[in-house]
Formats: sequence, structure tokens, C-alpha cells
Amino acid sequence: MDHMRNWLLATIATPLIGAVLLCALGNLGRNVARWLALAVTVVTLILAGVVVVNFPADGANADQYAVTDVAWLSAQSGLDIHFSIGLDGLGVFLFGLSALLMFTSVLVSWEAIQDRAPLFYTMLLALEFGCLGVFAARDIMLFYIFFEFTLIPLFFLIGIWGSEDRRYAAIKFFIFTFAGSVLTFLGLLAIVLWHAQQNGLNYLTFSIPELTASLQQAPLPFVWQYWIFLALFAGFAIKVPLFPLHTWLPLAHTQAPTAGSVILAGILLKIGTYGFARFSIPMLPAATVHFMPWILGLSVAGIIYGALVALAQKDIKRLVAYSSVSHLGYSMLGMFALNSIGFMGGTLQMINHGLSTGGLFAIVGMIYERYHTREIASFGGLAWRLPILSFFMLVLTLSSIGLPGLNGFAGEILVLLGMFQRAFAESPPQWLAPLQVLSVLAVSGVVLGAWYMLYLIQRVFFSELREPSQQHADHRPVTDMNLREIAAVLPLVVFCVWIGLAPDSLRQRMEPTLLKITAATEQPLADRYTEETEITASALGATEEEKLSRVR
Amino acid sequence: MNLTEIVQHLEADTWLSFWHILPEVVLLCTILLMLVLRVFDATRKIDPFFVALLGALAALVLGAPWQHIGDQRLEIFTGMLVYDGFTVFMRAILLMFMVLFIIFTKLSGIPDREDSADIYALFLGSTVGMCLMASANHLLVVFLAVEMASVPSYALAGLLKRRRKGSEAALKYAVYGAGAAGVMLYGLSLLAGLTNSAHLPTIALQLTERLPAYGTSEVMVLAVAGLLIGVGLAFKLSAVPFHFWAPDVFEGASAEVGAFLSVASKAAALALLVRVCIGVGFGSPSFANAAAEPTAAVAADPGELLTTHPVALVDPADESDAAAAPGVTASPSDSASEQHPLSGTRDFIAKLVALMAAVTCTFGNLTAYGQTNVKRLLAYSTIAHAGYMMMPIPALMAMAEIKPAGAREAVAGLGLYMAVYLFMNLGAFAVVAFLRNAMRSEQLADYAGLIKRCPGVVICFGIILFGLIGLPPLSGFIGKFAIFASLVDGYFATGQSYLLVLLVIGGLNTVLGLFYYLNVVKVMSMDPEPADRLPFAFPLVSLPGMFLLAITLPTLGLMLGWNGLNELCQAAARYLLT
Repeated sequence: MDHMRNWLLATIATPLIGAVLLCALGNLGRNVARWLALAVTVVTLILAGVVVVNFPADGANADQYAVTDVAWLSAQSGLDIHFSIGLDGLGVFLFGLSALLMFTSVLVSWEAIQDRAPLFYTMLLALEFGCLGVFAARDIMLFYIFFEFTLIPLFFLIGIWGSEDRRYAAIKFFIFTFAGSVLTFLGLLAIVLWHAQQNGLNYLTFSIPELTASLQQAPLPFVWQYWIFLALFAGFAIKVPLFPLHTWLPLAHTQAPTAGSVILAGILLKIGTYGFARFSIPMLPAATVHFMPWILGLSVAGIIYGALVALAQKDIKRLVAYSSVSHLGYSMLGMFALNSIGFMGGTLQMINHGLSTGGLFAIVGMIYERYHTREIASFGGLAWRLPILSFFMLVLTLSSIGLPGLNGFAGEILVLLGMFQRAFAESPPQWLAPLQVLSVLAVSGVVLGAWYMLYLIQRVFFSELREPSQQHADHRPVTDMNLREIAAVLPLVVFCVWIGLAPDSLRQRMEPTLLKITAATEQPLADRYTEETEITASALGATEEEKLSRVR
Repeated sequence: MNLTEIVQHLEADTWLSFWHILPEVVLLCTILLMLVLRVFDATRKIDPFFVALLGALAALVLGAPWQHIGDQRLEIFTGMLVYDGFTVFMRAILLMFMVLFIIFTKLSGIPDREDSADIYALFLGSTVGMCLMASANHLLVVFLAVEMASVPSYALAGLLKRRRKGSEAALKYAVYGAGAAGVMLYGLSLLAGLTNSAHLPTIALQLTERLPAYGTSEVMVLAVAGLLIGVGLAFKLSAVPFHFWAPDVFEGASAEVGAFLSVASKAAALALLVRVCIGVGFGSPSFANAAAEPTAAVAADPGELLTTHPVALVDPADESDAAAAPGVTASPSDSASEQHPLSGTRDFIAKLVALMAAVTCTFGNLTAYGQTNVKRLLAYSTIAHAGYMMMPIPALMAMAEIKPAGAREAVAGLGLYMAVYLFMNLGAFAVVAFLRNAMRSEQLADYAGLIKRCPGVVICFGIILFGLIGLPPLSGFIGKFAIFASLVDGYFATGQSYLLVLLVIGGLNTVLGLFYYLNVVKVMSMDPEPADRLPFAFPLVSLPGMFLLAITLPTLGLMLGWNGLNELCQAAARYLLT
């Protein structure tokens, strides 16, 4: 397995090399740029495929997989920063997903991007480099560098190639995300420094596995966990985005070019949930347990709010954007149920959402390319005109609303199972009622999700054929999906079906890593449980006594 | 000791010292050479640019930073100057900047044939003053060096002849500078009078011995002296509330002078701040042991002034109040009996600088957003960065005794920040200057849609601006990281909550800064081109373009050399405290 590290390094380096190459060959025009970009993403995809396929099938020793660890700053200088990458069960599929969605992104931009194409593909490849790096980083500093690095290309992708309101959207996106991530960084810094101080190290270590292990041995004091959790929450919750911090997302999605939306929904939002799973939960378990009911509440609020707002949208892309808010709510719900089933579901849901929503955005982009509008009311019966496109749209929709047999079902059922287990079987008496209400409300999201998506399908693809009048100057006769477009979406659909039919192949690979993460919260949960039970018991006892005295 | 012995001793000392200030001597010789060359017909044709460049290069090489960066502390010229790793480091920064800067001025064409000798003489003369600022060990040198650095700057601000704004800027700068210098001189004389010495380590020693015995009035005088000296330093740093000259001068003077003031002048002022803070707060190692006797009345120190108003740290409005009311001192504390006699002084300095840093940083970032002139915007950005760069000093003072390693880290962090800041800000001003030459405008509105006209320049400027935000993987991040890390470290080591407040303010400011830097990027890359812009060309494949690339490269790539840079800075700070 040792040679896998080279494959991993090559996977991450390829897009960067491609971006530099594209930048240097900038004057060669659109055609060269897009073919080169395609070649780079295909190579990256193949390399990433090899890395993912070779991941140990039982997930054992996952944290040793494909690890490269080179000292960047030496410990003598006080900062022990490593260039350390590797994949474990949490990151491996998100890593693969990133490579896959980039391939889709290049293909959907093929015709759509006319203006300054070389720069566009440079940005796209730079973004791919950042995304791949984030999920592979094993050092906090490296993670943060990749994390922030993803902002710059997307800022330009939205701001230069977006729709009318793109500048405002780009700035809002950047400021929201960056503002949160500064706090996140200060929080991570506090963890690092506390660890060094506590262990009497004369250097700061940034290694994620080392910090995780050490913080589980000797947890931070609760006050510190509390504040650091809030600091991390600021960055990750904005990124997810968790209700009520989601306001930047619909705007960014609607204004971004199709490729930008695909990547934003498919990959970048996952960095938020990934951050919670990688840092907040294992490193700050006590605070996680403390905040658990609140985050569950916010997740459910997001699920329902996103769904209701999606129902009212007039623009297809906005509708899909709000559905993201709702779906990511599920992911958070599952993770913060803090049991193994829910956590598995939440993680699976991250991948599912990337596949289905990424695909949906790609298809919405294809519709927009054909008709230059995304207004739901101006469409009808597109299935007559565009049967293949409608087929893919329908499959992705069904996957997104969780039809059994497709990937969405596997994720959602696990999330809900986890949540119900937390609410009905594992919760202290005081939380019982609110959590049960939340879990029931969460189910309503499934219904709402089916409603808004199927309502969309019914209006746009079925009923009578109605097409927008084509007053656009360069209009061409509307044709169905061509091979390029099919190639962009087909892999996503294949994976949707595969995960739907054989979710176990993913579960086995992820489980050991995920179990380790949830194990961290077991002790604080148990503490909390007994504490709450005692309080309730003593409260009950007191009332009993009162009653008795009253009787006397 | 008779006269002969003294003279002999002095001679030996001077001779020894002379070898340690070779770079300064070389700079002075260069200035003389440039002025003399003009006298003779035969040599008049020599371009002073080459003389200046060679002089600066020779000075840089003779300083041999690669060899001397870890040098032991050494007092030279009978204690007037101090020579250690930090001196070497700062001198290297200043001279490296000078070399790049001289090339830059040549490319941007600001000094014309006629007056270039004068201009380079002024720049180099100012640099000599700055080098002295970085090695000052005596109140007299502090004052002389500040003046030596400032007076040429006044003239440089009015460099563009027949421009009203330039003359106005020069006059404002000169008057304001003279005022600040006078106030500072008063503070220096108070301090010297109170301690019977002007030699910084001796002052520290005297304070250690006498502070416990001081009554309220002496402590008050001491506090006033500290505040007055602070005024002079704050003026050089353009720290709020003594920043008013900066935007006007930056707007009125040419972008080249702006670059000089915002990089070299700031670096020197910070070095001087470090020297004064350490000098007064620590004393030199030879004195360190003498000052160990436990005393009781330490707490009767102006440091208390700020502890009783913790709000002042976050509220910009309180700055003037705190500065104006040093009379509220002397609240006796009980727990201070075991502290180092100087800890009160350190506390005072730390809180004063922390307050100033917080206010300066916030003010600079908030005001920059509304600017329409790019140079003015960069002026406020400079002010904000001065605020960031002041932040490690409170951490340094707080950790001095408890965690000397952390204190050294703080200074190293400051050095790191200066090193990366040099390239970023010089680059930013270079872009402004070259664009001014190309399109005759410095208004932000005229930068709209530049990406269509000259994409290379926009990419370079974009990288620099993202670097100034502090976004990884650009080098600005290293500096910010070092500074924030030293603040967190200081907080964990000492538990002083003002360090935490400062850290949060620094973090928030990073976000505030985002608004205007990002706005410039947006204007250049996304806004439509103004219809009335005259066509112009600024290809990257030209000398200015190449310079721009070269100056952007460190911002892009210094992250890879993080380790080396870090070690360099730590070597520079190694003997600062011991």
C-alpha cells in the first residue's frame, strides 16, 4: 500500500500543474484551454479513482492510508508544521467525489464559457487543487491553507462569469466565508497552543491525528471547549450552511456559472460538514454534547425552512439551491445525532448530496443554455422536446428525494434512524420531548422534499409542451442532450444507483474511521446523561416530598 | 583614569565600533560621492542611479546578514548604539528594500536627470537614520535618528514640483513632524532627568532601583514621559491618533515616496519601538541580576491606570482620555509584592501599545473602505498594518519574565511580518506608480475593468492584495499567523485578558480589511471599463512589468520558504532579551 502515497500526491498535484500550464498557455484560445482542462480533469479522475479503489475494503488502519508526511517547518523553530496528506474513511469518498464533479464541471462549461476561457479553466483547476487538498490534509495548517485557497478561484468564477448580480454575490460569498473562517482559525490555533502548553512541548504541533488522539486522552476544560466550539462553528456553519447563516448560498448559487454551482453545492459545502466531523466532534466532545440539541434544532429548522422556501421559488436554480439548505440539514442532523448510525448516514448524505445536487445543477445549466431562462413558469412539457435530459433530471430528482434503490434513500434512512435512536432510546429524560418533536419534524422534510421536487418536475417536464419564446439573438434549434452532456451527468447517475443498491461497499470502508469519531463523544454523553437524570430525579424527588408534606 | 587612557580607550572603542556600522558609513560615502560627482564636468554624466544602487548593494553586502544574523549583543560607541542580531536583521530589511526601491524609482522615472542626485541623497540619508533607529541604545540617538530619518522625508513628500497637493503634503508633514519631535524630546528629557541617564539599560537599572521609592508625583512624571515619547513614536508609526499626516502625505506625494514611507519608515519605527520598549522594560543582561530584590510599592505605577479601565482597550474613543488623564494612578495593589520592580513599567508599556494597536488597526481598516484614491486607500491600509505590527509588542512585554522564549517568538513574529510586508507593500505602490505612468490616474474608479487592458498587472496586484488580506497560501498569512500565535501564546502564558481582546480585535480586523482589498480586486476584474478611458498599454513583458513580476513572486512563494524565514527571524531575536 505504500506506493499509494505517490498516487495521492500525483492526484493532488495534477490540477495544480494543469492550472499553471493553462495560465502559461493563456493565449492559445478557448479550444486548447478546454481540451487541456478536460485532459487534466480526466487524468486527475483516473488517479483519484485508483486511490479510492485501493482503499482497504474493511477500512482498517485507515489513518495510515497513503500518508505522506514531510516536515515543512522544523520543530526547533517552535512550529512543527508538516506537509502531511493522507486519506481516511471520512475523506476518501469526498476526495473521489471532488475529482468526479470537476470532470462534470469542465464538460458543462464546454459551450457555456465563451469569454476568457483559459482564465476560467485555470480557476477551475485551481479550485480542484484546493478541494482535493482539503480532504486529504492531515495538518491543521495545511487544511486551513487549502480551505482558504478554495475561496479565491470561486470568487472569480462567480464574479467574472456569473449572471447579472454576480459582483454582489461574489463579494457576499467571500466575506461570509472568510469572516467565519478567521474565527475558525483562531479556534484551531487555541487548540494547538493549549495542547502544546498542556504537554509541555516547546513547539506547536499541528498534526490532526496527533491532536485528536491527545485531546481524547486529556480533553480541554469545558469552558475552553465551549468557546472554541463556537469559534469553529462560526466558520463551518456558514460553510454548510446551517440555518440561519445560509443567506449567502442561494445568491451565490443563482449568480454562479453552472460549473461554479456544481462545485459549490457538490464539494465546497461539504467542507463545512467535514470540518464538524474532523475537528469539532472529535476534538471538542463535551462541547459537542452540550450544543447537540441546539444544532439538531437548527438542522431541523434548516430542513423545513429550506424545503418551504424551495416550494415557493420561481427560478429552477434557486429552487435547487434552497433544496441544498434542506439536504445539508439532514447531513448535520445525522452527524449530530452522535451515534454510529446517524453519523454514517450524515456522512453518506454528504456524498449523496454532492452527486444528486451537483447533477441537478448541471442539468439546470443545460436547460439555461438552451433557453436562456430558468423561470419555472415559462416551461412545460419539456419531456416531449428533451426526453434524454428529462430522464436524467428525473433520476437525479428521485435520488435527491430519497427513492429506495437510489442513494438518497440509503443516507436519509440512516440519518432518520440515528435521530430516532437518539430521541427515543438514548436521550436523558429532560431532552426527551424536544428531541422527539425534532425527529418527527425531520421526517416531514422528506415529504416536503418530494413535494417541491416532484412539483417542479411536473410543471417543467410534464403537462403540455410550453417553451420560452426565443428572442435571444444567437438562438439555435433546441436539441436534446448530446454525447458531451450525457458524459457529464452519466457518471453521477451511475454512482447514484450504485450507492443506492450497494451502500454497504461505502459503509465498510468508512465505518472504522467514523466509529472512532463517534466514540469520542460517548463518555461526555454518558456523563451528561447521568447528570441530567440525576437532576431530574432529584427534582422529582423534591416534588414527591412536597406532595407528601402537603398531604400531611 | 587619566585623559590619555580615556582617549586611548575611546580610540579603541571607536575603531572597533566602526566595523559594526560599515553599512551606514558606506551609505554616507555614497551620498557624498553623488553630490561630488555633480561638481566635475567629467563625472556629471554618470547617472546617480547607478551610484545609489551600488552604494545600497555594497552596504547590504558589507552588513553580511547571512553571517551575522545570530551575533551576540554588543554595545558600540560607548553604549550609544547596540549591535545584535536584530540590528543586522533590520538593517538587512531596510537595505534590501532600498536596493529594490532604487530600481523601482528608476523604472517609474520619478527622479529626472536633473535632480536625481538630490533625491537619491535624500532617500539614502533617510535610510541611514532608519538604520540608526534600529540600533539605538541611548535617548540622544533615539532622537537624532528619528530626526535624521524624518527630515529628508519632509523634503521628499514635496518632491513633485509645481503640484499644490505635494507642497501641501510636505508642509503638513513637516509641521506635524516638528511638533511630534518637540513633544518627544520633552518626554525624553523628562525620562533622562528622572533617572539621571540617557543610556537605555542604565535607565532600566535606575528604574529598578528607584521605582520602589518613587512617590506619586515621580511616577506621574514617569508616566507623562512615557506618553510623550509614545507620541513621537506613534507619529513615526502613523498610529492613531497621530496618523493624520499619513493619508494627506501619501495622496500628495508620489507613489514612490509613499512606498518608502509605508515600508522603510514603518519598519524602522517598529524597530525603534522594540528597542525602546525592551531598553526601558528589561535593561541589558549585565544588569539583569542586580535587579532581583523584592519590593513592595511597585504597583504604584502608571500601569494601573489602564488596568482600572479595561474598557479602554476596545473603545477607540477612550484613547485620548487615557492619554490625557495620567493623574488617576497610584491605586495600591497587594499582590504585587513579589513582582519584578520593572513589571509595572512593562505592564504600562504593554497596555499602552496594545490600546494603540487595537485602535490604529480598526481605524485604518474602517476608514480605508470609503477611499476613492488608491494611494489614500493604501495609506489607510498602511495605518492598519502598523496596527497589526504593534500587536506582538504587548505579547513581548507580557511574556518577558514568565516565558522569555515566547517573548523572543513575538519579536521574531514581528520580523517575519515586516519581511513579507516589505514585498507586498512595495509591490502595491509599484503597481500604482506604473499605472499612473501608463494611464495618468490614481483614482480607484479608473481601475475598473483593467483586467481586459492589462491582465498581467491585475493578476499581480490581485495576488498582492490577497496577500495583504492575509489569505493563505500567500505570504501575508505567515506574518498574520506569527502575530496571532504570539498573542495566543502570551494569553496562555500570562492569562492577561487584554491579549485575548487584542487577538479578537486582530481577527475581526482581518475581516474588516477584506472589504476594501476585495473591493479593489472586484473593481479591477469584474467592473466594466469606463467608456472615456484613453487606450493605453502596459505589457508585462517590459522592464516595469518584469519588476512587478519579481516583486510579486515572494508574496506568492515565500510560504515555501517559511521555515528558513522563520529561523532567520528567530536568530535575529535570539539575543534581544538575554
